[in-house]
Amino acid sequence: MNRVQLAATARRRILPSSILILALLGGAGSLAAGELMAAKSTCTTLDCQATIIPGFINGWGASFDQANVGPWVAQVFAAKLECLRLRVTAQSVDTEMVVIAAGGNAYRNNNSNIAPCPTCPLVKFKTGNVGGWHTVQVSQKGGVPVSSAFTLSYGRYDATNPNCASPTPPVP
Amino acid sequence: MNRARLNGRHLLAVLSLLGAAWLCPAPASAATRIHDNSNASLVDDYVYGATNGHGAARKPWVAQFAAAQGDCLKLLIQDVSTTTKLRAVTGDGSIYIIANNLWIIAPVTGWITVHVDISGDTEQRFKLIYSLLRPGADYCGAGDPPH
Repeated sequence: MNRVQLAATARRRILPSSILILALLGGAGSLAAGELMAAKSTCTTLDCQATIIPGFINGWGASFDQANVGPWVAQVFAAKLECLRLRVTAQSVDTEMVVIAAGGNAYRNNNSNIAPCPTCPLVKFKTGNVGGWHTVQVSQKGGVPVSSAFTLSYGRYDATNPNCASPTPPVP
Repeated sequence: MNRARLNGRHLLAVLSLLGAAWLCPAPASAATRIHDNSNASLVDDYVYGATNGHGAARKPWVAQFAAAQGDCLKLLIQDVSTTTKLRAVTGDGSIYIIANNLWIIAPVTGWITVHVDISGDTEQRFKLIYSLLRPGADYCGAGDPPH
């Protein structure tokens, strides 16, 4: 084989595998941003085996007017009679989390008081008889238009799991 | 042979960077964003949506609506034969809870998350009428209070 043939062979081998890798990565990325489903865990330490999700509030600049508040929104799954625990574990601005459960109850928290990020929000509740997709919004706590990254811990457990001890009360 | 490997590595590197760039936006919000840019007329726009249809798991419909501070966002659910729950969350964390007819005076400029839940295990279709009215519009008044 001459050099040209070797180069062509190398490209033919690399290109399909690269596209496959990108497709797999891209697919995972798209899924991670909108609908998230983690496996239920049976461990009992706080946030154990939780799925860690990178998030970003306010996107990339102004999409209308000038400084607009663009919360991060996703739908996370938890079946009925489970414990759903969502905690921001790292943040660069003070964030607030609101969860609208699949059954319509609303939960809000600003400060988990858990080290090393006591000002990170934590929402934990039992799903009761309505399981499904729960809407999660993370934003800067005062609605200030800033761009900032955070990480969210998402865990599903049995309703009696210590991860749902003292659950977040629903907004009346 | 070395040149072929080098070309292949370059190609892989370029594709990896493109993939990384493609992945970076993923952590941002993925909800559908609706911006009523009709400049506050009384003309209502609407979308048809659907919830559930995932077996026993409830699947609410979620979107984000644009509003400038002080604007009035009107939301009304129609064409539903069963119980609906309309929820909205503004960028400052204010929560609005109502059945099917909501008026929000936007506390901050930005995207308002709207969550529509309809009871039942089968797919439920609905019509969501929306209008974005400028501050002071007669039809909005003080708006619905947040919870």
